[in-house]
Amino acid sequence: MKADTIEKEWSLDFDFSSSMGETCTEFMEGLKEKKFLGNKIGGRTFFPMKPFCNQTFELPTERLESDGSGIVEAFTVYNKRPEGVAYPDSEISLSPPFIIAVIRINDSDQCFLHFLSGIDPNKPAQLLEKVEAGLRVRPVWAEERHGNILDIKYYEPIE
Amino acid sequence: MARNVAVIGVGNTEYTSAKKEKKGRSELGRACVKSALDFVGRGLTLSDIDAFYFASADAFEGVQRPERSTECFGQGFATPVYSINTGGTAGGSAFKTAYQAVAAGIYNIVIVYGSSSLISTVDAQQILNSASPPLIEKPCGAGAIHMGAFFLTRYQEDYGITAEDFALVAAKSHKHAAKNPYAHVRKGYTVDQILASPMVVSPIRLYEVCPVSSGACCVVLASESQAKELTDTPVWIKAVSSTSNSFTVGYRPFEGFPMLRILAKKLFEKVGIKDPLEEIDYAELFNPFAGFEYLEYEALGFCGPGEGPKLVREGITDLGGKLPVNLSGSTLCTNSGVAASVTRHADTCLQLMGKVEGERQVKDARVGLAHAWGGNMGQFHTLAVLSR
Repeated sequence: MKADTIEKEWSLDFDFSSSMGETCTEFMEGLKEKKFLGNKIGGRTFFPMKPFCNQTFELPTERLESDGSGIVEAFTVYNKRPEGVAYPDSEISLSPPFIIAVIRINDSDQCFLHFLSGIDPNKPAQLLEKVEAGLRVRPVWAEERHGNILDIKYYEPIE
Repeated sequence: MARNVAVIGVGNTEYTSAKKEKKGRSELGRACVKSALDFVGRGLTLSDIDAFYFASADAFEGVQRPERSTECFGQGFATPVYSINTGGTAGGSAFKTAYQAVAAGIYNIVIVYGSSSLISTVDAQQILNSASPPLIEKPCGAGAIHMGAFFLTRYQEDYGITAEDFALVAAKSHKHAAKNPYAHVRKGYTVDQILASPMVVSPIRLYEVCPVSSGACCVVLASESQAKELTDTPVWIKAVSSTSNSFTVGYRPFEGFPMLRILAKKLFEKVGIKDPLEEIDYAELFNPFAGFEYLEYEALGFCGPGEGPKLVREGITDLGGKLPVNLSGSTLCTNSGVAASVTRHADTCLQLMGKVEGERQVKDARVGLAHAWGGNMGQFHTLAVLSR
């Protein structure tokens, strides 16, 4: 037998930066003003706004504005604090366990994800009952907004 | 029996510095694919595309599987998207794979998409340098340009090649790129300006190195019956092939590109080309460092060893010469990552279609050759012989 082989450790640490694109930039700018922007493309509605229809390549024809209220379509309970979420420098305002919800605004053809607070995740029966009814929710905005999706701290039920 | 396959369309976006790009990945993709659909016209839409072949080198993109996050490949129609990664050659490898699928009758119309791979890199060298063999070569700080320099210093020594020789072939690219609306660096640098530019890694000077560009490129491939319906200027794919070499650069002989020589010999035999200089009308060769064009002439049999500069001095590979090469400016003037390897095919096709802008059209070009080079310093080469 020869001696143990040498173990070599490494990590890859690369820096990246790129434009979010024109449409996404407009959406993020809207969040700073507490506006949740959408658009219409070929008769369909998108919240958040979308740069183009990926089936027809049509461009948006109309800009839509909302206060961000919507309904919950689906959810799951997070039991552990997620590491390395989309914007690691942003503060997640909720402690585990917490809920992540799929939210639809104004019959949008596309939903989005966000945190949901104001419901006790430890009471699944209550949760199921509320969401089954298409729970109506509204955004709770961060005091300081920098133009990213966590400018909304979380969603809460509209009583 | 393989079906005949043609390139029927070419798509491009504007090319600029990767740091100046204002479009996101999907927006660039839409612009590129739409430009190809519009190029073909005749009612061709995204829903007619049977599959996409996405070419990139993932490490540069800063996301897991960039083909998923580029939302313009007919995902809404459940169109299959295949990802091909052989580094800088990925466009050539994807072209080959797409060709095989259409030739085999699996698909009728497909798009080969070369990603604008470098738009997210802060310093492309970080990633290029990480591509070297990690135990012995990478700790020396050797990245792509250093590895490239080894081939060129050896070429100088073996054949008495001068700094001016390198500047001459660089100036040929810069001169034509200045008139190419799809080139990034359009300054038209002269031999004197190139010789006066700073030495980056000897013997390679600043204006003999490719820029870091943004921009995407794609080509549309179709089977014979679809091609005849959709275009009056099909460019037929006569043969496509690829080869691989050692990952360890130290294993290479540094005497030109011997693997490319073998690849070319086999491919030319297959299509019956005996004298490439006489029988090929146009070539797009991958030249991220200007001097590589000479090594490629020699490997492809355009001339004998050490005779590359003679071809440029005599204008043989310039517009009006016997075999014009790189009238797009090639990779030296526009290197938008993996898109650049698709561009070699696209620009060759444009020449054969007779649709080149900017006083660069080669008269009556019938047979073309497109080359891609990449992986870890020429680890891979691909070649495609195309014909009007």
